[in-house]
Amino acid sequence: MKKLIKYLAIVLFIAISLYNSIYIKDLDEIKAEKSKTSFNSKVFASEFIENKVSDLKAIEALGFLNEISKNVKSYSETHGNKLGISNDYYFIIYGNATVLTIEDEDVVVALAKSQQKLKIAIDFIFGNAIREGAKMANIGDYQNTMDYNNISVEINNLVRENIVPPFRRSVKIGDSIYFKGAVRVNVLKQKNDTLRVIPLQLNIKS
Amino acid sequence: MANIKPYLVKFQSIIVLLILSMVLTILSDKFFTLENGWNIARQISINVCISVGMTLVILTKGIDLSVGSLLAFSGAIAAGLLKFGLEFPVSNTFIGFTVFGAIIAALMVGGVFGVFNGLMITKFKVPPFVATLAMLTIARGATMLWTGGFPITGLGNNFAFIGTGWFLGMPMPVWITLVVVVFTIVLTKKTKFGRHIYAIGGNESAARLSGININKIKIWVYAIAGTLAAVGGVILTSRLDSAQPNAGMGYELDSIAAVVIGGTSLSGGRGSIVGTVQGALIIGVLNSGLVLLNVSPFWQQIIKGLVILIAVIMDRLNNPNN
Repeated sequence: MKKLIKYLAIVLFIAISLYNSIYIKDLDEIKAEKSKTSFNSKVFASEFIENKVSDLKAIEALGFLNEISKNVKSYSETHGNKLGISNDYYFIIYGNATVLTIEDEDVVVALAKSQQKLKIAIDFIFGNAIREGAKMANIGDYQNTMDYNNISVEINNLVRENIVPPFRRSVKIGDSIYFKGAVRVNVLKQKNDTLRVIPLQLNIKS
Repeated sequence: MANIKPYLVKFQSIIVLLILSMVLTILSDKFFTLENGWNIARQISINVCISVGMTLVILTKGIDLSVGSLLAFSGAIAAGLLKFGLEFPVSNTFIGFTVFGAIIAALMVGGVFGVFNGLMITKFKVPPFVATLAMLTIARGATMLWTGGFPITGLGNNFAFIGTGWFLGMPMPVWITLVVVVFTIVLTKKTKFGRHIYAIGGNESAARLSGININKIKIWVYAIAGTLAAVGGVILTSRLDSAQPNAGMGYELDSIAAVVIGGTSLSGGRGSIVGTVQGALIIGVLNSGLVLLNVSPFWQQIIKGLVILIAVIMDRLNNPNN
């Protein structure tokens, strides 16, 4: 009798523990719920590229270069965006320019009405410059850091696949172009000739 | 003077702790504050959980190098089950886990891996150092597989309460640690099982001849060490609200340090849970004090190493025959 009570108590304990430990549902039901609530970085990125880039607030490139040459720290703190405690600030800039050289990784341009040079990336499109420069996402809004990181991954993919190739195919030395893109500025070791624009818009003027 | 020596030896950890605390209180006005006290208690809670398990293992003349990896794997299991559950596409079934369920699963995983360690050591006669070294790698690899190499984050407020919440004016990790410590003190001091642990560490052959089932006791000891590593894993994951695939790296060394500083003999059979708690406290106080005094992290490591050496030398001097 004692043994029976002991075993019954054990079975009861396991049953109560299991009841409070797990719940069982249909997998399809769960997947449907997840797809409604989960963040889709691909959709988020393509919506940004398709609908928001043309209206995206940007700084005129020549003025930007002049300002960061004067006082990079104070200008960056006022007009740039940075992630955490980094010394890197991000900006969206735009401008008209003439193509000087076409290299494997970059197109070097001279800004209109000046001799100032700038590199526009056509290969190795990586990093968070666009996400941070456009201030399009706040890390605090994402419980999952992967979602946050994936925004940059997807945007860079779109730039790599949709924005750069048509430009790269038709650009020639001497072309006049319009560009809009993101740049990273390090306030501790900034040199204007190392600035590299990750493009969001690239138009060759006829 | 001769009458004082046994007391000095017996209470050497407490004396060191008191002297250390007094010196740090003089050197930094931020050290002896309630806030810093709770900080130290929270910080050492994970190490205490692991070290208590390690003490049992070392008392049997063994060693468990896998506790850091088991901590990471158990934490990842809890986080993964809580966040993603288990999917069985063949039967179109999803099994979701509550916080309670995820914690139980994590503890069970820690325990099972501990049993595996014990079986390797007792049934296949693999030396504890090698068996647990292998488990260190296996569990780390399993963690990477389970997490895909990425942290699992966003585990919810209920789970976060375990590592960051307060209950009756005391942080939750400290409550959990207290329960673990009291449980193991009772286990070692008041039960037959505890006496068998000391007997095996003191003289394994004599223990076997006196009828103690050595293999069974050792398997249980490694299972408890694995489960306590899992407790540490749950606390750490909850504190960070994230299961990191590389969590717990080097924790096995911190726990061995706490055990040794606490006076447990690496040759087994002698030591106590209370001593280990004191050892972990000394390391915690030392860490906190060195940070408050702005000592370089490189120097901190050197100082901690020297403290461990001094502890072992003192143990040797006090017990020359051991």
